[in-house]
Amino acid sequence: MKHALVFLSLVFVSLLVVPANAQDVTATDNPRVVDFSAIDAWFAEPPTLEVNIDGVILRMLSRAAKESEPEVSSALARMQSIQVRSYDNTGAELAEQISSLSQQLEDQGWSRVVRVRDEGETVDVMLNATEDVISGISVFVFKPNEESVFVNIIGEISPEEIGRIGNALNISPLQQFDDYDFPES
Amino acid sequence: MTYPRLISTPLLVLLIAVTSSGCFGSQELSRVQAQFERDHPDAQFQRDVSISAGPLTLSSILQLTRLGEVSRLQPLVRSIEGVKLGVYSIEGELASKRYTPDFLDQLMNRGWVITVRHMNPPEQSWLLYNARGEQVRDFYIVRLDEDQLVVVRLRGNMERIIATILSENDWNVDARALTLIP
Repeated sequence: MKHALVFLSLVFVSLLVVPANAQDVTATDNPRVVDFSAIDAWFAEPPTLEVNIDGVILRMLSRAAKESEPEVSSALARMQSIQVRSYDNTGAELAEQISSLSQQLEDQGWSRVVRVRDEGETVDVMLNATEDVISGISVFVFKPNEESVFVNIIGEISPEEIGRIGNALNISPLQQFDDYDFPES
Repeated sequence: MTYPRLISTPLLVLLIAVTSSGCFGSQELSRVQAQFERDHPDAQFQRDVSISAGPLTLSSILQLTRLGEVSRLQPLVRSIEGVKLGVYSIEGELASKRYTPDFLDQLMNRGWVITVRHMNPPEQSWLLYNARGEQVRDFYIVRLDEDQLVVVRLRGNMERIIATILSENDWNVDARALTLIP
């Protein structure tokens, strides 16, 4: 209960006080695309892991997996881009910045479907949907004194497919969602 | 948390095996080595393997791979048009910095796209590709850790190469690490 109150207080404060360095992370032509350059600015060091799979390479992977991994191939064919960033944690205000980021996405029409707050660790899963079809997923993971992971996938994808894609492509920040129980709603 | 390995040991062995009949030096690999020596002045890079094989060498290898166990490698070798491989052992201390080497920036200026960048010193790796239209024709894979630098430039039908690797169940996880490509 105490944690919930602290969290609610933080959310309330974050609504009132926008951090000075909070930039619009959806300031791109496509509101489903998270602008990772804005997130980069939160950190003194470059990301420890950066994955950008889109366009030609995404379509090629889909075609290449068609025979051996038909489900993965189908999921990749429905996607437009996969972006992943992982950073070493720095800055006491990082949790607040991530909370602010989730709020910005909600303001842009995204829905927050998962919010976990557990001993300082946070997980947010956001969906962007048009006419009952999911067209974007963003996942933000914050582990104090460890790392922060940001995932933005554009295209028709269900949350359950995140782990499957992670396994097929060997992207460990996505693999951790393989056994994650997403709410059915 | 573990991160994708950009090149697997079995793949390295394969690359060495399939190209060892046509070894000769490569200026490109020498430039890459010189670049890393500049970036890491307290480390010495000792070249262990330097291979550059084009279509002629690879067609000879196709003949060799007709026999026995290695015959299953034929579709893979047939899909490769050229390969350059440099493996260097490292003595001394690597600079503890996250960065992208200049020669990779230069490739990006020439239209190459970086798709994976893993920077967790001393372990760092980069994966770039080059496409013509809808065809990915080249991969550049560089992996650096405290013991070894591996540089691979692969040209060919990447779609077929990845499909072949994915279809080989017993290559399993390590081979898939190459496809990721990560």
